[in-house]
Amino acid sequence: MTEKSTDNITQNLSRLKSLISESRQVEEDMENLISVLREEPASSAVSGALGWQERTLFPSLAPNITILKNIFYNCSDVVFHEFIYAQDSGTKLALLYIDGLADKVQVSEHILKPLIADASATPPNNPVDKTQVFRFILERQLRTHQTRETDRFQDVVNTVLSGDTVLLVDGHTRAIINGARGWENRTMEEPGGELVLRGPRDSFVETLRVNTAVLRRRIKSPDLKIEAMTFGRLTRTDVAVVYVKGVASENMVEEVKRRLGRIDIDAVLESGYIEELIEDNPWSLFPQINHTERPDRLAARLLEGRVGILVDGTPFALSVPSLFVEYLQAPDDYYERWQAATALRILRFVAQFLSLVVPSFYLAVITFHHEMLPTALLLNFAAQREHVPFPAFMEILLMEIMFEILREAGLRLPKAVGQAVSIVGALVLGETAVRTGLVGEATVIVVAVTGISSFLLAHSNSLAVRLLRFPLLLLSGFLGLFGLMIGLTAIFIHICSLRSFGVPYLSPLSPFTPSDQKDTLVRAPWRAILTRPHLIARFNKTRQTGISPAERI
Amino acid sequence: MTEHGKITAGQLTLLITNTVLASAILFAPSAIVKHAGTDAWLSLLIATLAGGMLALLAIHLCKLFPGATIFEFPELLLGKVLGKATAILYIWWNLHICAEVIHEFSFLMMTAFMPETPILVFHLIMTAIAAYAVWHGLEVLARVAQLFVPFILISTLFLFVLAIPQMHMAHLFPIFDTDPLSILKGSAVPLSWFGEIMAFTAVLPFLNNRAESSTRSVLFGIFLVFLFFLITVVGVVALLGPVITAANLLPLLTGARLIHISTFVERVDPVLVIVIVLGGFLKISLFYWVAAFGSGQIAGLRDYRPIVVPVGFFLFVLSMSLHESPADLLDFLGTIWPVYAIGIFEAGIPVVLLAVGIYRAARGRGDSQ
Amino acid sequence: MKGRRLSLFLLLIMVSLLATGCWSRKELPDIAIILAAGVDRTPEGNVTLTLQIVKPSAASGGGGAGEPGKEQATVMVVSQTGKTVADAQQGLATRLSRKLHWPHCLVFIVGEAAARDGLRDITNYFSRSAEPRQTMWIAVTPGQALDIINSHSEIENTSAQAIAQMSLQNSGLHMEYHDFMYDLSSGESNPVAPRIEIIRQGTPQGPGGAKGEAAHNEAVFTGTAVFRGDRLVGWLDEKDTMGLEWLRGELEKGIFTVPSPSAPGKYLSFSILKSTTKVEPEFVDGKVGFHVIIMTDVDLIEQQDTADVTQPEILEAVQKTAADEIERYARDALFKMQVLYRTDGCHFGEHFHQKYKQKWKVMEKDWNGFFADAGADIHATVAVRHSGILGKQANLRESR
Repeated sequence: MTEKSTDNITQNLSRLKSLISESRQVEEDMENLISVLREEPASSAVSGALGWQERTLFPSLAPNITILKNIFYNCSDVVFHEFIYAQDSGTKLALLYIDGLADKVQVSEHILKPLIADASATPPNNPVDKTQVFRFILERQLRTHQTRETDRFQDVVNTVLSGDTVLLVDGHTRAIINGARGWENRTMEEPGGELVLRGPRDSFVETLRVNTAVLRRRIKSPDLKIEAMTFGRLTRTDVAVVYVKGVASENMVEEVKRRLGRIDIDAVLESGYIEELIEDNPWSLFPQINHTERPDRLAARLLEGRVGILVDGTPFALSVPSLFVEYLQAPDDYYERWQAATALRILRFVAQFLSLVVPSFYLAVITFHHEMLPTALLLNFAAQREHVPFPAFMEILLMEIMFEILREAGLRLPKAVGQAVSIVGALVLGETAVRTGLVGEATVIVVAVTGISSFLLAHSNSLAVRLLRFPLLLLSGFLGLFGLMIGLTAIFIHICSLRSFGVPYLSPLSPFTPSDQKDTLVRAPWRAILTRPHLIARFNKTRQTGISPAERI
Repeated sequence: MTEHGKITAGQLTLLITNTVLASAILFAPSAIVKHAGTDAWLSLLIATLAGGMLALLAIHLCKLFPGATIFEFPELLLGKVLGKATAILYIWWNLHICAEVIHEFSFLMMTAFMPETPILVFHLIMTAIAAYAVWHGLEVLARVAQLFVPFILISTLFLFVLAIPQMHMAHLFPIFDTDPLSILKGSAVPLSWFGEIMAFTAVLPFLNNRAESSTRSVLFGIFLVFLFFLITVVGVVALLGPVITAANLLPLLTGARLIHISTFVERVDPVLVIVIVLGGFLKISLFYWVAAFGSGQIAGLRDYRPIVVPVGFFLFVLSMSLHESPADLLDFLGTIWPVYAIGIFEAGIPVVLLAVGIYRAARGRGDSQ
Repeated sequence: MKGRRLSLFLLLIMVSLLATGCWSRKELPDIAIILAAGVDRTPEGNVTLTLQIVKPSAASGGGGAGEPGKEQATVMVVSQTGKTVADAQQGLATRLSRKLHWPHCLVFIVGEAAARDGLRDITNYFSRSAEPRQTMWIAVTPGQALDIINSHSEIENTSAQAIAQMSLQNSGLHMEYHDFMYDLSSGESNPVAPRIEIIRQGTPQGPGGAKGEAAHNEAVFTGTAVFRGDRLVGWLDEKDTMGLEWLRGELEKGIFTVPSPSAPGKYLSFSILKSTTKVEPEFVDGKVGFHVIIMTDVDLIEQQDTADVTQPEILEAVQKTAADEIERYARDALFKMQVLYRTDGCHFGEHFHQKYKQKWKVMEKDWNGFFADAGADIHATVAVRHSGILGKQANLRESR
């Protein structure tokens, strides 16, 4: 009897002990909670630098939920779903995800269903043991493809914001992160800015994962490395540095990562942010980092030893280093017959030059160097200009600005209205301006040639050319061909001084690399392009060993 | 010390070609033909051979002290005071050439092109654009040269091809019509231009693979100079005849004025002027760089770029105050300049330096044995 | 950074420079484009400069400004007398609303009086200034240069353009200004220039022109003006001009007609394809002599007789006749140069200089005298390269 009662007493005592210890635990939790709440008013929970970011999860569900609810205060798209575990009615679970970012079908089929409805699963030998509940859920019940654990609030918050679904288990200081993302994607369309007649029609989209997949499909090699990073304190944009290991030089990859590492910015909404933050000379008008929305183009660049940077939220992928000549090369250069491709490349070089100098050259000739014109042409020009009241400089400047206005208007307007713009442009500016004697016919032709030539160029490059046209016009308006030459010289000095990630911008033209000429101004037949660009793929130059003469047919 | 750029052998060749040719093809034909008449090509050949010797002299000097420039090794050879003095003399020489070239090209622009424009404008703009290039350093300068010089050479060649219909081969004859002394006299003028290669004693240390290719690329540069110089002199004489060539201030330009093909290509001389001024700009930039860089080296600066603008101002003032009239300029180029340049800077001092260097080396060997 | 400040500074200099003015700029409506210039000498020894200035609104081919059907004057001719060419030009410049623009002056006409008086004074202005092009065509007229400048072309817009076009395309001796000046300055030769005259030729027809003028006056080339030094000494007609061109080795095109070797009273015409002339000078016993060899390739373009030129012996005879004719042309021209005008306009001095370098230095001063007394033998060979599409006269049977 006494034995039994002492037994009872010790049993009760031990219960009391555990109760006391539990209550201490509760007290501790409560204190934690209170201190957290004191430190951070709910409204500014997210923006604060200290506090929850550094904390680990509490062992019980209630304080965790309270803190998370405080963090996501006024975030109406965050869903807190609390429910009771089917195998053990004593265990509470909570599911946390963002409506619209998480795939609801996956959440209900692969997470909720096994946990709420599926009682048939064999529970572990002691279902009350909460430690085992956690492992059981993680290892046997969840059917999502990616799961991992965390014990930090920061991870919970970040993963939820990225579209993952987080499962909190009562009595555990760890949470399960389920990769069940799924949101509306834009379907892959033909790239808008880089049309080709021959070549693949797919393009990057706004989702990083889709883009890496497209790239991986093109380069099925473990050497294609996709290193993930995140930029933007608020936007937390996913960024991937992609390169082909063994082709891209290690230094280049390190340099890219080093420059990326220096970035500290609140938001990255487009790859343009990153481009400007890591380029060599931010003052230059010339783009030193190339971008493309064509996977085939990026793949080709990676295979030449370049490093790509994919940014979530934009279809435009960056690639470094980028050289001047790249902007005059089109993707179909490599798909079409090489003779035609070469001719077109040279045409683009000519067009670039024309769109830069034609207005200034015309101005210099008709205001300074009349003797250069054949007599008959001079008489025609003189007859046209006879009724124009402005100096030639004003006339050309006026027309150039009008053209740029029209062009910008056509770009921004909806397609239906855009047509009206072109009618106005063609009729009013082209025809009537000449009739009323506002400008001469030759000026209209000059502006038209300039404009059409600039359409042959890559957009980012043509921006530089369009801007530089005006200072050149000014110079040749005052000093004729001498001024034009001075302006061009300054531009060339500037281009020669540029480097893109250590590679001279004008290479392989200057410094001159003979072997790279096969893919610069000319596009040699593929069987002749045996090496990668020398200054970019420094350590692994062999593209193909070449077909021996005997094997040639 | 202050320049980390490296240039390639090809760039060196093109820099040398341009440095000698740029102003020579404008001003030298008249001076050579004045002495040598239809045998100008012979004068040119002699000048080229002598110029090749001067170039070898420069290379040899540089090889005595690998990595050191003309502003450093005189000190090692002649001691602190004399060495510094020599280096300062060379800086003066580079500044002087630079100012001369600015003056020459401003004169060209004004007389041939835009007579109404004040000459000050050309002086200022040429100095300014050269300053911009110099500020970027030798490597960028070499890259610009690699782009421009082939363009300049090809354009010049193309121009002479266009002029072929206007040429009279009879103007080139008779050959060996002039007495040898006149031919030698005629070769002094181009030789002073060839001697400008001595400025490359400041550039050679920056060649990326100095040992193997310096001699070859320098000599190839001289060969290119000879080729284009010859084309120019022969072409101009064939176009204008020796009498008018000798009497003309800018015979190349006058020759280019004769080009016309049917009625649609006429008066291409503005294009020629532009192309030549482009070469002039490169030449100015090179001497400007040598002067600025040398000043920095003597002053022991870490970076020469802070003194680019002051040197530019000095050049501007110097070039503005050089010559009273075009005739004065041509007279100076034809008579005083060869003696002054060849006698002191292009042959005189280098020969002394080399002699001292070889003597020192021999004695050093003697001591060690 | 320092570099940025430097570039800004340079930019500032440039902009401030640019803003202060644009010195050499000339807008097209501000210039008076000169197409032709003529120089005459007045009896008092002054210089009269006559300029043909284009009226742009009427001269243009294109442009919507001109009303079709309405006849407009295309040029204006102005004239001014002064002590020098520049003096006269200055007089014109002050009386015109636009700045005179020389580089497009296509032709330069010298009046006989001015040419006989010596051209050195007049040409100095045109050689010294960078403005007039050195490739303008030079011509001498037996009357007043003013009349040539004043003439009008029915086919071309302006008479200047017509003269330039004729010089470029037609056969005959034509001279660019710089070539003329070379001959004048070299000492090895004397210059020659084409003769230009106003000839009554052509009747304008069509709805507009039918009503009035029966004939029309145009400037045309009619031979050669021969100079000794810078002074005009005489003229050659068109036949002698061809002979002179053969002697100078400058003949590029032209047609000449010879009597048929087989049928008297009939003629053959040849078109010149290519001609080369070799002059071999010799100097024996203080006397100068020349061997002139002329080799001409021709095309038989018209044949009045019925001989079969595909037969070697007939071809031989035809070629011989043509060669004789060429020799006659050349000899006549040389005779006039040597005897009548005593001036070497044939570039013989050049050949002599090349062969006898040392003697030339002594003889140079008196070369025209040596030339006039020199003996010369002329030998011509002719090769008929094509004979049209007809082998022989097959299209007509000879009438009996």
